[in-house]
Amino acid sequence: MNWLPSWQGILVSLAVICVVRAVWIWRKYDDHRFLRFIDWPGPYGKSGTKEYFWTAGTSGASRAEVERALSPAYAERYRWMMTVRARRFIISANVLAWTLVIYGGFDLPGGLSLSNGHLSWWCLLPMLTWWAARASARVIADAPDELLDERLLAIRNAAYHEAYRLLGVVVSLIVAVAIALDISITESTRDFGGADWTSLTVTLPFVSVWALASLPSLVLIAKQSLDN
Amino acid sequence: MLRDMGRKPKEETPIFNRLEEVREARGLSRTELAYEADVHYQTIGYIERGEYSPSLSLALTLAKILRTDVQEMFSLQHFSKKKVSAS
Repeated sequence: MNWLPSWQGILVSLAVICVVRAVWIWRKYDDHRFLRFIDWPGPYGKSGTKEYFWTAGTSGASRAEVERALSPAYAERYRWMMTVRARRFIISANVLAWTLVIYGGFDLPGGLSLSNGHLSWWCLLPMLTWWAARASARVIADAPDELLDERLLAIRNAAYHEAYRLLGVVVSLIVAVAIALDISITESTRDFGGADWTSLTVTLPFVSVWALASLPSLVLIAKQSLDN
Repeated sequence: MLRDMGRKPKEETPIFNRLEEVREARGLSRTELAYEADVHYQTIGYIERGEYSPSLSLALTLAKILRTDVQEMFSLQHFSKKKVSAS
């Protein structure tokens, strides 16, 4: 069994990481973008170095994006995404999308009539549901402190606290689903050598990243603490 | 059984306010007051409905903007029906 992803997979992953980092730096900073991108200790002070989108805390959204999301016009435009029913749907859709990606990772094209690549088209689903959760929570989970008032800060911090607690449950569930699927697939494909776990080395980290990114927004909308 | 072990859940002391009354007497909308106080426009609504108790700092800021004393707007007891003057 080959546990390592292919070279093409590694290159694609690196390219995706570079693009995400470039976009993040472009939106967050107005100067020395290239130096910041290559993490060069330049003339822009301490805050620019050793700061990545996953270690910078809750600053994944730009000022313009947060200001737009917190405006009355945004609430009016996306009101349909902020109803109780829509929020329940978004939460369910997130969980479904994560499960589907893991399920698809087992190369079961017959099961759901999906193609059998490691990261196929249905891997877009967690991204879409992440966006929906973020929009429904008005980007508060990713907003920098200085753009939130004391009430929103309290709500956001409480949501992160809850989200980190939930993370343990989510990770356990993902592992449980993976094991359950492995057992069922191994049983049904015993003659062909059992289940192929190789795909999970790609899909599990992929799902984990999107679950991690979505959880605070999901907790926010689950608590319905942001009525509009 | 846990309830008998000496730890009681913390209950929040209700804080009553008449922010809405004072704000309207001064002729300000929620959005205008929120802009002046540098808070989100919904936060003013939450405070007015008693669903959120502001920090001391925010309460003082609101009082300053509305040219009144904090105790005129926030109290641990219900306010009497005394009318707020527009001045």
